[in-house]
Formats: sequence, structure tokens, C-alpha cells
Amino acid sequence: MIENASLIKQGAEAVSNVKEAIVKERFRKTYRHPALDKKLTARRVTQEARSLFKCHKSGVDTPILYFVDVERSTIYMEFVEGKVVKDLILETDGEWSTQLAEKIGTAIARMHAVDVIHGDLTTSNLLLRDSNRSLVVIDFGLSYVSSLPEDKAVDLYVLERAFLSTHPNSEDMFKAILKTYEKNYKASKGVLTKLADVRLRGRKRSMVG
Amino acid sequence: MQSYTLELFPSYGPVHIFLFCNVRNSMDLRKRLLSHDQELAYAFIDARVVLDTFQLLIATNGALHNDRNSALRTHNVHSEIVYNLSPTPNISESLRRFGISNNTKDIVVIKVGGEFNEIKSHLNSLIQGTESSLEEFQKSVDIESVRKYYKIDSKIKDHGEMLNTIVGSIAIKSVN
Repeated sequence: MIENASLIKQGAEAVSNVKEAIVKERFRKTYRHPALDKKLTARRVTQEARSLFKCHKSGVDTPILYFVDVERSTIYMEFVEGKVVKDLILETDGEWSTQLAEKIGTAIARMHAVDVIHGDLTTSNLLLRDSNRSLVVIDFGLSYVSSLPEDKAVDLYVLERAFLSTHPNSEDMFKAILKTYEKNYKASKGVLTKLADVRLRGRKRSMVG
Repeated sequence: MQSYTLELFPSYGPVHIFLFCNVRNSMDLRKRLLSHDQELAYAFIDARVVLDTFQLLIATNGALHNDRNSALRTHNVHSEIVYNLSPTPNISESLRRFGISNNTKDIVVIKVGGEFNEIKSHLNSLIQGTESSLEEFQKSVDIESVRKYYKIDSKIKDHGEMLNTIVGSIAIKSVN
């Protein structure tokens, strides 16, 4: 369908690069009934595009949305020239900057302020833009909208786990992120209280009782 | 004037974009558009709401997509381009804000397909105005209208940042 496209990354979803655009296509899940699959995939594509733009409007730097093709479950968006935060931290050997932590904290605070839960916050889904060093949040494929402190706490918990498992001795950096988050998000108190609960029990809520 | 090919829709042919300044017969053009004059198979856009060519191409891309899927919400591809430029789903409001009115001075014309020189001479016979280069967008744009229609935060001042919000609003329209 697209000439000059090359595959740059492939997870559960494929991503390819056309000039300056990223083309993200969701694959058909052949194990699902086709009718159900079509409906679910369409909903997820829509969801992803909406969250992406909602975050962008609220001041979080994200790739710019160019075009959504629901029929082909494809999203076309800006190709961000930048460095993955994961590589940045690994390169600097655990040496981290307060500035970076503040950028991450602010971005999550802004996202949660408009009730967008990212769903997959890891250091691989955060980029630092080459042009202006702004922090770009990518991959809203698992995102959804919720105002519950519980969901926001789980969102933070996922990031905490990602931090501690991929970056040894990064407890201080995560603390700094939470500090900025607390300062920049009005309803952060309830979320941080919940985060303590989530830490005790893990990401999944207990269904007992 | 300038021609582009949209990578996703090569079969539609090139997309031609023209700018006419100091147009004197907007009222006549609008009347003919409203009576579905087949000779006017063009998208006529008020240049005050056009910040950048990219904005036009994104809207055109969306219009061609709707056409290919037989999902046009307006009469034809060209009116769909005008409709697509607007972030709201209201058709009459979109055409009023982004289409031409009786006293529109500067007009952007988009034509999908066709031979460049033929279109150029046809447009010059239709429109009483001065054909200008697309760089003149910077002069003809009315930032306040753009801000209002696309609901751009007053904190955003940078041209590129404004364009980003505009492009996003056009793209999200199909799923909102």
C-alpha cells in the first residue's frame, strides 16, 4: 500500500516509517471471531487516536496525529526525532538528571489531570525530542479514560515497576518523578495514597470479599 | 499554485492548490456553488482560515479517504475538503466558516485530479482576482479566526505549534 516504507519496530503492533510519518497498524487477531475482532480493533484504534490528541491538547508533547483509517486499523502520526528515555538512562549508567525526572512527572500529571490513563508507562514509551529536549509520550495503544484514583495509581505503579526492573538503583529518580507529579496535579494526594495500597497488592485488584 | 500527490491515494491524481487574492466576484462564485453548477468542481476556501498547505493536504487526504469508502458526508469530494477542514461535525457551520462568503477577498482553490495548465486557465477565466504564490498564506491568514474555529489555546503563539493543533483537530474528526 505504501511505497518506500520500512519496518522500524514491531511489537504486538507494527510500525513503519514513511518520510516523516509513523504508520501504526493493528494486526488482525486470527484467533478471534472476525466480526468481534473488527469491532474491538476499531474501538481500540479510535480510543488510541482520541487519547493521543486529548493529551496533546492538554499540553503533553505527543506525536501529532495526521490521519486515522479505522477500516484498515491504521493510525498515521508524526515521526518524532528523538532518543528513547530507556536508552538515555542506560547510557548514562544510572546517572539521572533532576530535569528529566521533572519532565516525566509533569507529563504524567497533565495526562492524569484530563483523566487519560496511559496503560503502558515504561521508559521505552518516553522519548526526548532532539529539537527542543521536550519529553514526548508515545504509544497510547493501551490507554483509556478514567477519573478513578485507583486507575491512576496503577498507571504510576506500572511505571515504578518498569523503572526498578530495567534501571537498577533508580529509586531516587522515581521518587523525584512522584514529587513533581504531586506538585503539578491537584488531585494527586488521593492517587498517591492509593499507590501505597497498590504496591502492597500488585497491579491486579483482589476479587475476594 | 502548487501540485502535490497524496501517497495514500495516487489513483486520484495530483492535488492542485491555488491562491487568488483581491477577488471581486465571490458573490457570483458562491451563488453558482449553491446552485450546484457542475463547472465549479473545485473546493473554494476562505484564505483567512488557512495557515499552511499541510493543513489543506490533511483535509484533502481525509476527503479522498471518505470518497473511497463511499462515506462522503457532503455532495462531492470538493465540498468534503471544505467540510473536513472544520473540526466540528456541523455541515452548514463548517461550510460557512471555511467556505467562501459573498465578500471573501482571498480564496484558496483545491482541485483533485486534472491537468495543471488546463485548470489554471479555467480558474483564471472563472475568478476575477490576482493569482498569487502560496507563500502569501502568511499574509492572508486571520489568526484570530483560526484560533476561534480550532479552539487554540491563547498560550500557543508559535506557527508550528498552532499547525500541530489544527492538523490534529482535522485528523481526529473522523473518530470523534
